[in-house]
Amino acid sequence: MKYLAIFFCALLSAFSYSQSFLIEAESFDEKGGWFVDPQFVEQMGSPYLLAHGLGEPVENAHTTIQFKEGGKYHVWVRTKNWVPGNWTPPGRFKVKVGEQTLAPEFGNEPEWGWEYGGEVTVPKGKTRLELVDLTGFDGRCDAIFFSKQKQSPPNELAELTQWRLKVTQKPLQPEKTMTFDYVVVGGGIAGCASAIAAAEQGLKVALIHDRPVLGGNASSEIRVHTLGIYGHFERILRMLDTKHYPNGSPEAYAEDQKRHRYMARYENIHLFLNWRAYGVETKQNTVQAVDAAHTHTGERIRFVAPYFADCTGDGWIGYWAGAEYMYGRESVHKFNEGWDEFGELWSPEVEDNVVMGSSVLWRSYRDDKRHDFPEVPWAMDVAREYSADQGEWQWEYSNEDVHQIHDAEQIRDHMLRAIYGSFANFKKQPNARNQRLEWVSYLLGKRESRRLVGDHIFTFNDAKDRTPFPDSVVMEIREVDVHFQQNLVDPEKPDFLSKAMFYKTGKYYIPYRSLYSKNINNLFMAGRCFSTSHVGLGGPRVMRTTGQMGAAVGFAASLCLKHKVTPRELYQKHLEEYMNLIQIQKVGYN
Amino acid sequence: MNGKLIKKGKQYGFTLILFLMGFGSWNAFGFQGSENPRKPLKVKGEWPEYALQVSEVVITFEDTVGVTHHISRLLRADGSPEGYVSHIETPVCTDTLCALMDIRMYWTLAGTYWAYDTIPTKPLTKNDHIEFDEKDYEKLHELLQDEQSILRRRHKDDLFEKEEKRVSQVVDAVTGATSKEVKEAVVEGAVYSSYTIYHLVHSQLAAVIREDLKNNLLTSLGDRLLYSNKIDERIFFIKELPPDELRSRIDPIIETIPEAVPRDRLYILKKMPSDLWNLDHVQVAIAEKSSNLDIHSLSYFLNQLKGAKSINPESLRYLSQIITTYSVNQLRSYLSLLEKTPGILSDAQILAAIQQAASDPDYPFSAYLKSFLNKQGIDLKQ
Repeated sequence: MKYLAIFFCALLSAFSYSQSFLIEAESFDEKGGWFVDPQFVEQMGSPYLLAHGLGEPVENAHTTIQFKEGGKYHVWVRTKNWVPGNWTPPGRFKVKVGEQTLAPEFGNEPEWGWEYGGEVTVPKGKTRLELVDLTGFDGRCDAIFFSKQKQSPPNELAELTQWRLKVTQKPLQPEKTMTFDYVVVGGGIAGCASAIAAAEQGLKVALIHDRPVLGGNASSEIRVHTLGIYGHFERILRMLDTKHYPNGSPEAYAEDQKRHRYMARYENIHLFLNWRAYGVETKQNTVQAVDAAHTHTGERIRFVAPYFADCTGDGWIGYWAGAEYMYGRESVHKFNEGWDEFGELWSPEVEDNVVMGSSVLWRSYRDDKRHDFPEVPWAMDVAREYSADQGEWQWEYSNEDVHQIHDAEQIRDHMLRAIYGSFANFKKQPNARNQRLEWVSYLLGKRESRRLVGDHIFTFNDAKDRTPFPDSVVMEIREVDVHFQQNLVDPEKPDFLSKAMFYKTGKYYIPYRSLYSKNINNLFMAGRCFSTSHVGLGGPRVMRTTGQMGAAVGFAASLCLKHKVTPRELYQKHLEEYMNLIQIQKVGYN
Repeated sequence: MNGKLIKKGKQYGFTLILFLMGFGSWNAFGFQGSENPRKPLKVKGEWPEYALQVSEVVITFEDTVGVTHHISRLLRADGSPEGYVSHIETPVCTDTLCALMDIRMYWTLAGTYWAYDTIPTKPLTKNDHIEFDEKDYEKLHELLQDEQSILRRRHKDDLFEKEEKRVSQVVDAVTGATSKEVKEAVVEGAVYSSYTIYHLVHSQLAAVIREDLKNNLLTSLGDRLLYSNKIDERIFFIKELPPDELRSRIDPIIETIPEAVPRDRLYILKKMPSDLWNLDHVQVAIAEKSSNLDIHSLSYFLNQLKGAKSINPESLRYLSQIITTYSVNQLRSYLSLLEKTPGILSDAQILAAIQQAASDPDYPFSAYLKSFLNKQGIDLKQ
């Protein structure tokens, strides 16, 4: 049996949950058609299994557990009804223990919590445990708890986290430590480019990524094509980028393969797929280590290095380390970023918490036979009358009510309702009988959330004025492209659609000083969490540009290591050497 | 602003010369100088019953393609302004094959699109000189009313995608999404005409009109704009108000909120000085309108109340009436407001609203309310 997060508590004599098992669903031996979803760990406590079957029940997930003692056990399942309301919950599933299927259907309560499954009698020894999806509409199971005592585990997140540590007898610090020259967290295009750049300069690099495939928003799991120019780093970025196929295209699979093939060539890149960072160790404003856990097994490693790159998108490493960061739209006066053409939509007079939203891409196809799609009453108050058979970048959700990090699961679920409802409307058309949902991402394609503050904050004016910097390491010609929700100007529009505003400019530059933290001494950042204003992010948030950022900090890390200096000191003392290193990357690619 | 402001203000002598030199076609519209214009062909909202006169030219503006535009004010009988008007005669093609567009355009005092009219003998035309039909005129009106049309966000060169987006080998639908959106927005067969007129109306000329209003009329109009029946004019006035002057006019400003689009509602709420949120009558007046607020402005309002020194019970009572429409975050906010208001749960109306929602099996978040009541030591049913 693989490393399985089953935790037998019988030894904890002083602990009230004696003779108990906690089984993390994501650690099941076989996931069947269920996906491991680690996107919301910080909000609900754990990766979980998701039955994302687009309306068709998915294959059972199963595992084998060892009962040291037979007899009767009470069973609780940690789950959630993701669309509470006046309908049968859409994400229902059952749990099978051995040959016995527990009577209740799970997925009924509106918040993450433990739903009681009744009592089950098990023999001593091995028993098969199965999750049986009933709907294909995103049922979710975090964990299953067996106990001889009828006492529900805690629901409140902080208490639950402590309880989990107790039950699993885990020490606070990871059991294993690994040391590298450079640790990159986040395996999107920025993170990959950063790892490659540093590895080419001889650094021993750890690349930690919480998904099974690299690429982030460009991966086959999210499928946004890469935009922007290559700048100095065409050689590196061509290993990582995508063709200009339509967003959502399955051609993204081939690009995944290309990306992984290239990454595998670098022996000194140690790839940690399905590992999600969950904390940092910081001393005197310097990150000592990043702690990460395997999203399936729960195994933990402490990654120690002199330099770290935050390529998480949400700026998690910086956030945990205490880095200064920004979220929301700054007042137009803060950086003088106004554009009369769009006024408040572009840059508001008074700051707020609205940012560009997250997208969920999706597509359907026309088959040569009929496919029915179930009624989805639970989706219709979001979709209303809107009808569609695919979803591009405009399928985006953001408003004053939701935070792109804290409410990420709510945002994803809102988009799923928008998609299922709109497709159900589409299916009502007489010529849509053969249309079938082919793919709906369950991962959010985020545009904007936390932005870590560096020594320079890149703004709209830097793009508009095409400001030259002595440390210009990233360049872009793409227009500044800021989104707003359509219902802000037309309340009749669905709340899940956006529009884009484009400001055309010539080539503009991003300085190296926007790519390291202002107050965390050894932290670089690349990707959408770099140091920029809300409007400034509009242009360089696309993935070739963020890839340039990644490569630039990868090379910077190599020189920092060579001279034993901080990222800031590299700018102050070794800029010429650094810029030479950046410049020579273009050789042969002009 | 692009283009060039040649002359503006009360240069009547100069404008009269211009008028005599090149404005013969204004006769065709049924007005000249200070004569009454007829009701335009297409009007957004209402056209006044009372007679309007056209002033002398007050703005002369050369646009980015070198065409000079002359803008007059529309005046009431007492000489006060009602809007702006200009006869636009402009090329709409990149070549010389199509006819010039002759159209009379009307703006509100806020510089937003109000109406347009044509010359009876000179119908608008599309490519190949095909005349507009009624559907096309209506489509143009629809386009001009759309403040955020795709045309606003696209450069003329980008109306048709030049960078060829490769059609997927594996995907049969796709791409061209942008050009499809453009096609849906414009008058069929008149892409460039639609684009040109849209940008003149919404960008270049609108900007100089707003400047004229700000520089020459705003003071004399006083608060008239705040009580206008055109929401755009009210919003314009509020935007021009310094925050400190908002206080003395807060009541009519709050009255504007439900009528505004969500963007402007949020703008107004954000512009309110923070101390206003402590005032009972402000809290109550907005709470009374809470059922007409959208998710953006309602969430903002609830968050502001969370930061207020105290919450007026009447406002909490109004807010309790829409408890079942809240998002989960809004519900959390509302419950936190109740928690910071001692004794509020003795209010029969509020308690009844909570208990009713909590015991409603169809209400998605009844569990929150049950938990809340439990925490407060209150039974589900009284």
